[in-house]
Amino acid sequence: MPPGFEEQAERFARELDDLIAGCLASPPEFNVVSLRAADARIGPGQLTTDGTHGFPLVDLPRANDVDGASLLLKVEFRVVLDQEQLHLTVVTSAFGLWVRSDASGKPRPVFRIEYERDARGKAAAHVHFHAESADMAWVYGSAGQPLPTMKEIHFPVGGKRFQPTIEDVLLSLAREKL
Amino acid sequence: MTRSDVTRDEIVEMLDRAAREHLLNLEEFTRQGRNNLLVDPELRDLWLIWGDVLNEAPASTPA
Repeated sequence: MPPGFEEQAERFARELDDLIAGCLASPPEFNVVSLRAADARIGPGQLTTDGTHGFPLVDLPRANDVDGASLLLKVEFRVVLDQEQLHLTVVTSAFGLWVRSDASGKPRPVFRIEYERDARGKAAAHVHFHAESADMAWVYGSAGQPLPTMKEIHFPVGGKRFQPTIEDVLLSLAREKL
Repeated sequence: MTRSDVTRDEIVEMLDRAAREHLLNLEEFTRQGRNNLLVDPELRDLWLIWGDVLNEAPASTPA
């Protein structure tokens, strides 16, 4: 018999702690926030519902940062027990790279990876690119379709068992030397 | 790792405040979330992680 929900959720949060601590000099602690039985959200730092919205973004400091981190990481999960009520499973998650070009500016997303276990009409795991593409405009236009913004398109990146992990995101940033 | 509890009312209030900052009321935020129409990335992420609380009746509401 596996451990109960709370223990499994806390174990997952500790794994995230270890992962981020292996990448950052000043890592935030992950927090398990329970709203009802066997249903929790896990994210970095303290959830604040007054003044800000949700879990904070994680600073990804770079050597040339002048006034605070310019790269920020979004990482949040909603977890429950699976159908058999035995194992922790992710219902939804949101990862993403955000940028803050000046210290007083509001962070903007570069790309966001969403996972929705019960998604309909789109891949369970998909990426939103916050950019524009003339070539994509041509693809839609030449098909007689109205052009969505790139961020509205759900680019599929895997099913329920193969969705990108936060490790994949961090590794891609390292490989790109960002 | 730390652990905490939050009430449904606190989350609803947070979502309401976020929606208003984007010129939506909570009903419209919920409608757009359910129909996959939210475009603002902050609101999309909030819906993805917390939106389910808006699909349930408050605890004080009789079934």
